[in-house]
Amino acid sequence: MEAIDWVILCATLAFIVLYGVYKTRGKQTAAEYIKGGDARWWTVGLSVMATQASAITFLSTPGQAYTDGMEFVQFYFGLPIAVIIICVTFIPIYHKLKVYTAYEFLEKRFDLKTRSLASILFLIQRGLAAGITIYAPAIILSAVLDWELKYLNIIIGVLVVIYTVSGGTKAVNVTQKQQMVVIMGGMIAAFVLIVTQLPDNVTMDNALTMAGDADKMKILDFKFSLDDRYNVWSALFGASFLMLSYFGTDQSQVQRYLSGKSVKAMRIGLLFNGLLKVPMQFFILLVGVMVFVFYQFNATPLNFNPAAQKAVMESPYAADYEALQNRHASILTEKQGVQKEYAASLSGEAVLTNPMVLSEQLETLRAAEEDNRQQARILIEKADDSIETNDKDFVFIHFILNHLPKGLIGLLLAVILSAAMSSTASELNALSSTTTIDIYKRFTNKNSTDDNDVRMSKWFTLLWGALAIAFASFVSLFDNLIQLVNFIGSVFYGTILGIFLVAFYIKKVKGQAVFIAAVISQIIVATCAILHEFVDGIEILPFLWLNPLGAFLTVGMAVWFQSMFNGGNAVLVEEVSS
Amino acid sequence: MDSKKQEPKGLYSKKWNTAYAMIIIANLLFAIIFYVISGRYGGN
Repeated sequence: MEAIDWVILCATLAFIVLYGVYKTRGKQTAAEYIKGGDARWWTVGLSVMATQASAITFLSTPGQAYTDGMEFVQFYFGLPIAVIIICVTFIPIYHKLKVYTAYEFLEKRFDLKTRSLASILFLIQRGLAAGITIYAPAIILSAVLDWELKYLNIIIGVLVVIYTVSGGTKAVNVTQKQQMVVIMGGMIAAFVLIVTQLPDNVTMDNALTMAGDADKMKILDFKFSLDDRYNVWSALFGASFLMLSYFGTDQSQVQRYLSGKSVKAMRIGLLFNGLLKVPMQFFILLVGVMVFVFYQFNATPLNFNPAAQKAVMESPYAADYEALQNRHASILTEKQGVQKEYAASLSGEAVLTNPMVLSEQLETLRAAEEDNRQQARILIEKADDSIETNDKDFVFIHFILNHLPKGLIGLLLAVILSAAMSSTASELNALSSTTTIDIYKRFTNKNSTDDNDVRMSKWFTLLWGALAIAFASFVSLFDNLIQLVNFIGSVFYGTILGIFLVAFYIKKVKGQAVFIAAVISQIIVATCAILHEFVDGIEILPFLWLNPLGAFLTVGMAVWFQSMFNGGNAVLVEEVSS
Repeated sequence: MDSKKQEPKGLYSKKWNTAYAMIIIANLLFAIIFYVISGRYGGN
């Protein structure tokens, strides 16, 4: 990194932190600090978008497209369905009841223990996710830039804590607007630079054809398969439940739109996401596909994770790895020659070999390259089994550091850190609000004053920030970071969503029935998830399907238990909302 | 019911239903574009 990159990176991050502190200076009431309450629709919309788009989105997603193609975009088809349901049903009730957290509604509808169960499940899953949100960019940046991991964890965490503690929900909202501008500006600049660095005869059409040849351009998959993580059906059913739970019941998102100044601002802010999220994810994946095309004409390392390369070169397997590197270099040279000829044929220039033959040669060379990479992964694992051999999360950052011009490297690093800060800020803000409103104020100090609520909320933000940094220091890499976050969410979200679905739509079910149903459902879902992910030879359900499973189990059992019980202590939804 | 009367004006109006329909239609259009792109480049 050059001095200009450091200046851009530090200036961007310092501006965001200072802007957040400056815009929210002065004394705030609990309503202002915890709820916000005066945000316009574009602030709500950008805040919701920035909360969901973490650093993982910008590191993992292009890498996912580089290795697996564009299919991941299907995952977001559930989002528009979910936000419309939330706009129709959830927002009017949250707004009418003037709740600070989503879980407050559950006590009004059911009882205290159901509210507490949902808020504790949220605190567990979001507390873990907050650690990963900090850790994910830190581990990757530390590996490629040789920065100390623990210091990176601390720097990201502390920057977020400064303005989140200082200004609460409003500080989170105002900084997320700046962060989204930095993020989208940086990604568009990266895309333009990738395309301009392709050979002259590679038009966009030719680039997409080449990517299609390598099986990167299959976007929609209509085949129903439980083994396949991403297809249209898992998106419409599995992901819809995940999105409904995430946007409707996860306080880190609910708090974003509850800060809207009116129902109209909340709804338009959410619909803004329903409209733009799918094309935005498509664009980020397309960046990854263009990076793939770029690397068809340029050298790649045998493994994109520099820490993995370093470990194996310092082990007894160094000679074997060097042999693989030599083979990799000769495959790349041959592949680049064929690729150039193929590009020329696609652009209508005369070539000696039939384009179909060239395409087949490329396929053979890609298979040889992948086989070589696989052998390298095996050596890395033998050298150090604690190092992540799956290098897809390192692809985009490798491109940024090695092929972008001075200045833009600093901007793209600011993009990644801004994204990490924006989602972490929402998480800490929501964890603090839930701890203050649903736990502290409800159980410990029912008569807490306004000033005390603000003070406690600040302390809880600080506490959750410290816990997130501590967790980030212990977590290790999963198959893919973005999937780890979705996996943790899927284990808890189904049950929480089931509770809310019963609350909103099944008026006859009361607190006792839904509470027992939720506890049993959570135990079943967690058992299925653990067996499926961590026990060899046992396959139950891919994680996306845990969302509908948890929701159906909770709803089904709640209805069944209620039919067995008589009486209860619930309030019907009409009574609550009147 | 009384609760309906107390809700902000136009909470369930035709204007909102149109907005929801537009979001669905926009996303269906995206799906169609993706289908066309898959057909053009994905089946090579």
